Amino acid sequence: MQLPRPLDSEQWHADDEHKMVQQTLEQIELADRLGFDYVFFVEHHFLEEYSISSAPEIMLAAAAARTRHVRLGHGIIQMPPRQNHPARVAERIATLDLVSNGRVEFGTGEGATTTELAGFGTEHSEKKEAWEEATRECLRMMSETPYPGYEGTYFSMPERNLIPKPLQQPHPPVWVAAARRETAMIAARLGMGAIGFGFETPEEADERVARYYDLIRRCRAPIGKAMNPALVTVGNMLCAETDELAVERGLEGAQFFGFSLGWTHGPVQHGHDHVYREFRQRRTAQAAAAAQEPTDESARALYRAGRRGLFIGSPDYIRNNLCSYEQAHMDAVLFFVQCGPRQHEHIMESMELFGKEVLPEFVDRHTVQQKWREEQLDGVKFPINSSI
Amino acid sequence: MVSVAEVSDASLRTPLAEAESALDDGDYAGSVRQSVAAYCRLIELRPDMIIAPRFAHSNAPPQLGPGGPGGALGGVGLAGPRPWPSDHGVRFAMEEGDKPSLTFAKERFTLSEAATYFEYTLDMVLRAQRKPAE
Repeated sequence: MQLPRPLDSEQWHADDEHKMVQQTLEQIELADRLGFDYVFFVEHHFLEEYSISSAPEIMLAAAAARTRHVRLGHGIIQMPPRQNHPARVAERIATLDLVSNGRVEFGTGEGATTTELAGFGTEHSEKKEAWEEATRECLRMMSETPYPGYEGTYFSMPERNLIPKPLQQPHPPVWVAAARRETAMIAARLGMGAIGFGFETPEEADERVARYYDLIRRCRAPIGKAMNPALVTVGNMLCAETDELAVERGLEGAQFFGFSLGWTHGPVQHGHDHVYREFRQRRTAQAAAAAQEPTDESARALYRAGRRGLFIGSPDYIRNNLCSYEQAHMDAVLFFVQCGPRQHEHIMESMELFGKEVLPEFVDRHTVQQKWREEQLDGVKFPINSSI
Repeated sequence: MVSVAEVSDASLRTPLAEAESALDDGDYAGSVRQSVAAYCRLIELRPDMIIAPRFAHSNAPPQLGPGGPGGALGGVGLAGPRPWPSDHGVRFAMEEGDKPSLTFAKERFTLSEAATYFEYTLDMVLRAQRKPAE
């Protein structure tokens, strides 16, 4: 949920955040009606204009009440105990699983920015170790009666029985954010799904998918009581009748997403930054300096694709690019649909068009991917709980 | 498939094989030491494989474009290789005279930290193998 500051005002409009939250819930309802499989909410704190999704458990609970089929994912919960105590995470995940009739996806992560980590007193040097410790113990809390207690590096607690227990047994499918390439392989070693798995060429995708599943088969100590072998990549999506209309409606939002993400990793002035204004100024300067589009048709196509990524375009454009992910055996593709100043009406139209003209054939062919997965998972020694 | 067996240079393959073996045996500190040894050897042979930190709006302006073709998010090319992961106990720095150094900030490592260093180093070694020196 990105909320750029208005250019011509020093203050937010009074109901901007309220409007954004309500529009997001409408988008989720539509996703459920159209047959999307997952909705994931990020967790970010204090990142002005980049994200107002600081309480995803609340949004997911609201989404649970308004939907019936779509799976409800944390993408992700920041697991270092100073951000979220693992007992509280276990309680919220279990309760959401009961509220949603067993539709939760338990995405986990370390957190990334100094603004967030330092806001809660977590050191960068500790976050991966803290993530691993807290996630492992949280999964034990959800699946053991009683939880025997723990004396750890980043938290300790005495014996307690964490209640309620989730509907999905032994616990919901567990994931880790894998923005770094190597994290997908860590996910495999720990029996987790990887969200944000990326690659630069289809050949590289083939190699990495093969390695991921090889490590899944060789996994000796899953982090939880059940494994979730799954690879999901993420892309920015805006679907419109023509490529030109999609770029007109969607490109700026995608660019702002990237710009604001980079901004969050630098020094910030809390309450005083104007990230969108800065973005607009630099965008104007870069556009003026940009080279002319190539005249050669195929070079021009590559140039345009490089400018907008793979999922901002017409249904045909998006379909063709999704096929390459399908061939690389990605289990799912997650789409950022709301970013920057993108309009709610355009997002809704985009989802409708995608849902009508692109999604159905991939749903129909998913059985092929599932059969391939069965072959990859032959020989896995641990229980599997996966929604793929 | 990406694997240590694909590494053609023995001076890189040997420490990587030992890093992977240590990882599988639960000797995470031992694994990290071998990964660091392999990485040091790599950047000695191929200093062009050192990747500078990318996210800092205090220096170059953040990228505006949506990034590469492989599922990258708007503007940051998250699919591409990243700098050495200094946050997990082994810090990378460029010292005077552009001399790289790797310093251990702790003695004990977890599976995920050791696996991070191993997978990162393996990835960079194979990238170097496929990409001519600059």
